[in-house]
Amino acid sequence: MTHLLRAEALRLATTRTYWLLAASVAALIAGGSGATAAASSFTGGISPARSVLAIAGLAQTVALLGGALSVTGEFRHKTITPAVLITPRRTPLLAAKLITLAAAGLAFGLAATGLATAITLPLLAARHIPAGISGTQTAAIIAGGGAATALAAALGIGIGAIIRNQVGAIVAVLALLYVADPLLEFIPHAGTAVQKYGLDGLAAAATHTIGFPATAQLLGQGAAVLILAAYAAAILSAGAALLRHRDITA
Amino acid sequence: MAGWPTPRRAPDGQANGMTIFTSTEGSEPVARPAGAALHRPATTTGPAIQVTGLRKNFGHVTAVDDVSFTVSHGRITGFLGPNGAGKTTTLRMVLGLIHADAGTAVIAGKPYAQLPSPAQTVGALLDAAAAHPGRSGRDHLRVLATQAGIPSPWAGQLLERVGLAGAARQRAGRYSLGMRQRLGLAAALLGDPEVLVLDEPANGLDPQGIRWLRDLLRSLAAEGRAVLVSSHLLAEVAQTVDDVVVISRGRTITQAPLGELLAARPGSTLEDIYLELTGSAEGEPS
Repeated sequence: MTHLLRAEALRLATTRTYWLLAASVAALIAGGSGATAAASSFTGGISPARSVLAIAGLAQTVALLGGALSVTGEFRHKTITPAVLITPRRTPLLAAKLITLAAAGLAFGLAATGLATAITLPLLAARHIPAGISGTQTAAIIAGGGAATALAAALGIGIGAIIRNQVGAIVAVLALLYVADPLLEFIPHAGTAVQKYGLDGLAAAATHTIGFPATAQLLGQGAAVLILAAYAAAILSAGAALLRHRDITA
Repeated sequence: MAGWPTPRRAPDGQANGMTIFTSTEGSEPVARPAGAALHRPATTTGPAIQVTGLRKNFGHVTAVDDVSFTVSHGRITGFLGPNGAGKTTTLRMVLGLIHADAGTAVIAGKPYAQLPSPAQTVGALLDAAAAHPGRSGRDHLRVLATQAGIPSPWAGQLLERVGLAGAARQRAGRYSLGMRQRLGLAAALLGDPEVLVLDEPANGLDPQGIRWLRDLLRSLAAEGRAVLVSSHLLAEVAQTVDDVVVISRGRTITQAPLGELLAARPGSTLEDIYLELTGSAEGEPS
């Protein structure tokens, strides 16, 4: 497993894709939270800091995509073949990718949310706007950003293992993020459940920021992290089973 | 083009990629008697690869119907057949990438998935393009070496051996097809394997490259390794292989030493024999 983990870390480090993706998204989060903290009028009684830091949720979106790309890329570039030849047991191969990308997602989520916090809080203070969060809550937001980003990467890996096709996986991720929740809300009386248990609501609760709408009833942070982890585990199990049983013809 | 250097196994016989190569630059491949095994590892007895009654359907299409053959240590086995005959599917079943519907394929007596250290037992080149275009050739090999637990410096040496040292830091996306074949060959040789499975390795190679590949395969077989190589270049195959396996429409048509095939039909070339064999197969009801 050590060999597998080191190989996955090298795979991640030796292509520019992930570095560029991480750097540009960190810049977007910094710019977005900075601009909002500097210019927004903050009405409605919601903690200004929490509403600004919801922008750092972009880290989870990109981790979801990155996780999916890390698997679909192996099929697209046919590198899955040498990888499986060296390690015929495909589940450990997927597990190594999962551990590596989840660790990278954790680091990136902590860094991106930490960066956004470091930009937002001083700007709000300079404008004499109360941030509306305690020190403990700040820590919860940053830790939650790390955990949610790690889990998003894990979920992405599962989606990539199921769909394999790069474009298909990206479309699935986007559909999950932007189409699934609104569609599910059409189910009578399902609205609050979707707000709570949909990806959006879970990510907002896990990162201790605000949902959409801002008044949505959210789960507690711990519960949200656990449910996100359960989603990721379910999708990953399906992905691992398919990876084991499918032929590798790429 | 320099000849392939001769690996010397460590006295304890471990094929762990630490083998020391000594240069035999300029030496000619030596003609050898059939079955000569100079390098046969003590751990293996019997055929290097044994394929028995393999079958594979993709939906309603039968890609491989009934393929059986053996590959011996110390010999190059040419795997021939028309497009769509099932060569690649068969090779992928041998390597455990495609699950067979029926039949078995064993390497050194075991199914691929049960080999204790597959990369150190079998080296395979299935697709020249199996590298991430954004990763350098050197990094590509480093990743695979790391995964297989093979020291990275060895990967650098191999790049030199396949003539890619100058392009090691270039991204693989900029490689020509021939360069990607060489990179694929370096990857196949990473574990200093006793069995090599190569699918159309001559694709994209220039005449110098094809000569280099022929010398490489011959020296690998001369060291006692088993080499299974599929190809469409019959003139090249006739110069390189010891044994021939011909399949058509997913079935084995013949397996024989090349010398025997040619001796049985005086005046015929391998191409004549191949066309006769595969042509008659096409006339059969399916």
